[in-house]
Amino acid sequence: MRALCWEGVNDVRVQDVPDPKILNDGDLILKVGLSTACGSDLHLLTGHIPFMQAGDVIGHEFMGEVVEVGPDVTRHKPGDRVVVASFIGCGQCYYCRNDLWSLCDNTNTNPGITQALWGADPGGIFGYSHAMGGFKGSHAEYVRVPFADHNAIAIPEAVDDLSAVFASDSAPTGWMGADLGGVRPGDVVAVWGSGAVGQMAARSAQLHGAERVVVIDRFDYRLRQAENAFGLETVNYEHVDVGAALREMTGGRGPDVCIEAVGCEAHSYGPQYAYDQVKSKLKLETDRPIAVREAIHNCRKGGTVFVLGVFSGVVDKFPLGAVMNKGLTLRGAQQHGQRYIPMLLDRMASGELTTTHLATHVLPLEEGARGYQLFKDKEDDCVRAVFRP
Amino acid sequence: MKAAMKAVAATGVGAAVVVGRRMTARRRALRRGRSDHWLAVTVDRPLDAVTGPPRLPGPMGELRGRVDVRFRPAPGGRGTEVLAVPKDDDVSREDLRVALRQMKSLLETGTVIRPDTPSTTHPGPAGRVLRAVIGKSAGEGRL
Repeated sequence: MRALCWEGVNDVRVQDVPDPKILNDGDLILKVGLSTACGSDLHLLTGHIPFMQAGDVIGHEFMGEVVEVGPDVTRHKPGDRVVVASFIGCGQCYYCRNDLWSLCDNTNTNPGITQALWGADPGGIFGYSHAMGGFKGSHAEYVRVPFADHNAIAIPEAVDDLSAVFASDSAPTGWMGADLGGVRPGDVVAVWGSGAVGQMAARSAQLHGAERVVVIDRFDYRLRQAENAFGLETVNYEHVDVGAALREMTGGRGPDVCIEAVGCEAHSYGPQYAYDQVKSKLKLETDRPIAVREAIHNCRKGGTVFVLGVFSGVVDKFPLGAVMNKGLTLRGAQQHGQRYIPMLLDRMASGELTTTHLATHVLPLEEGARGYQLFKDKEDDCVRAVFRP
Repeated sequence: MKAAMKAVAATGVGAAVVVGRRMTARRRALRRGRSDHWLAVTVDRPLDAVTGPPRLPGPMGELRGRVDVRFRPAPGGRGTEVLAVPKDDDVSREDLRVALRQMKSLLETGTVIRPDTPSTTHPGPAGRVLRAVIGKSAGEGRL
């Protein structure tokens, strides 16, 4: 089959790879309908996450049609249209049973790597390095889905493919930021990053009853999208002092909940950015936590900061003093998709949650490399490149 | 003055030697402790489900008699803690980690998830180094 493979730093190519097979009785084989690039893939492309082998199939946000099921699969049959959670849960360990699916105990096949890095291993994920299990990704014609009864979710008829693909990761990740960030009616919520996950987090905050939601980014076309799709307030940090704008917006208090949806390769201006660039180039820190610092600094006393962006290792100049002295709650997580996807599909069906505008570029899989180029370099107002194998 | 400086220097060197020896001794003790301690997993099932048949499924069963095994209920009704340690050098701690992890997965899910292997047909030189690391990963970590 054809698949988009990581071949080296900033080098992805479509190639012939072996077809996937049923390896466990609970597996299914999915004919991929749509698979979207995700901002976190860029950390793989840039070599930021150094656990890739040339030829690894990437992609983790996808939907499609079931073509084969293992003997233990009871909830799906060939022909079913499903969306698949990007994190693989077994459904039966302590974490899955407590709806903390990305922390699954039984699906990371290389637990030693992340146990050494982080002290414990999260669950496996499709197409996201050998540190996360080495599972083949979804930018392919077919993909194997382990523990399919738990990880593949039927798509209601009223939800089209292009909407549903974002129920795989962007929408549940964003929803989780608002949900576990504790957004309550009347809150003011600030979201750093106006990509797909940031927009989904901001819309989720609205749906949780937030009174004002502001999105911060530097790309006007993304901010315009957030304004037009969801009526969100926006701040472009290239032109506006973010702290001053947030204080003005909140009567000097700061946002109640700050959601960071940027990740480990954040951009900024001035000496802080230069400092982080130098430190990361010298491998004295692995990640640039610029948006996290800003979120902590600007959050109101007693507020919550939720880290949705992907971070891999250690950071420098972390404002722990602000966290402690302002009495902040700091949380983070990879997405617990299985917990939210059925509800989000219902919201998509009712028109409450729209996602198709995020798919600015729908391309054949053969144009995968070009899609990542557009996405990475923010060319042609690209928000998401979505591939159709 | 020179004598005083020599005395200070000698004291400094002496202190460094003492601290160095203590650190070395501590490192050795820690290493000993690490290699002696029981490896543990928590199975999210009650004690009777873990100790009943099939007791010690998968590779743990194959290690029967060569490892000491203890069971105890986890606090708060959160399953059963299974602790194991090799009886002698016949069983490596790496093999025991793999066995404990697979036993936990078998008891919780009825299976052990298989990786997509080979993940690639042309890993390249860096990929081959990574493969060597991955090859040991299942037996390493913090049990």
